[in-house]
Amino acid sequence: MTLSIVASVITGILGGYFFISESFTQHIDILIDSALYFLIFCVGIDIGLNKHIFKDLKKHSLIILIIPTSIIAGSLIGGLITGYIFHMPKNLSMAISSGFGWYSLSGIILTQLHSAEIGTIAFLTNIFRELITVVSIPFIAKYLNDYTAIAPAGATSMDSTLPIISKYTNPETVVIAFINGILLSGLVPVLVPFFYSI
Amino acid sequence: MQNILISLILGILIGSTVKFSDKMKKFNATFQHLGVILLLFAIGITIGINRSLLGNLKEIGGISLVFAVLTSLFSIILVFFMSRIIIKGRNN
Repeated sequence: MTLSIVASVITGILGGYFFISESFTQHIDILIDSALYFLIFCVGIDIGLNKHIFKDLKKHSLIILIIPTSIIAGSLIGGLITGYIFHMPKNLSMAISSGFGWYSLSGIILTQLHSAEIGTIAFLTNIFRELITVVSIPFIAKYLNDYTAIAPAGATSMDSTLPIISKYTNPETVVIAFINGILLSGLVPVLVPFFYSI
Repeated sequence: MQNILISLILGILIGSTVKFSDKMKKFNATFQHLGVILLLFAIGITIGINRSLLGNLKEIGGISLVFAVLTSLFSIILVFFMSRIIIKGRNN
């Protein structure tokens, strides 16, 4: 998966650099829009299919409420500080930081809403966030606590980083991580445009 | 934004009402994978067309790294303290 993702971006960059003229941008925008809506539709189906989530939600209601809320708040604080360092408007830095590690989606949304430059920053930010997650989870689980291992993972705690969380924590944390990932993944397409628009 | 929300809600409604066979679930996963690859290819093109963006890639990489470190760090700090409070509450 990771290899095909990196390969598709690099092929696109090379194609855009060598073969495609700027006048073609409009057509690409249409392609991105339609593919994006389709992708989000598929993600929605995934969320809808997980019916046991509602049962699990009741069981872990307090912690399930607190972990995603803390991740959202922490990401926004980190984003605002970064925005302050690089003299960025607050709405933009909050929109970038509310990708919660989901690089493919937040990069695309911000490319469409703002520019290729901000889209690329969002994309790279979330790629780096996932790398940080992979490297830091073993240490967090060992020196802090299991729940905190979900924090850097953000929206990816339901898919790409779930196996790592599972390896270093316990089954209860895995269920919570999965639900956390679903909630945050559902919020990325809502919060990124929301913060951008304020 | 409106279209994104409509797509998401429509997907959730279909996922929660229609019965999906394992084969259909697999199809859904494959479609997602293909969708991501197509989108990233298209994003790559928009980056490749934009010469000034490629010139700034070093600076953009630096900004992205700071974003990634600080968003992760503050998420870790908040979740750690909040979960400590809950664990303490449970033990009591």
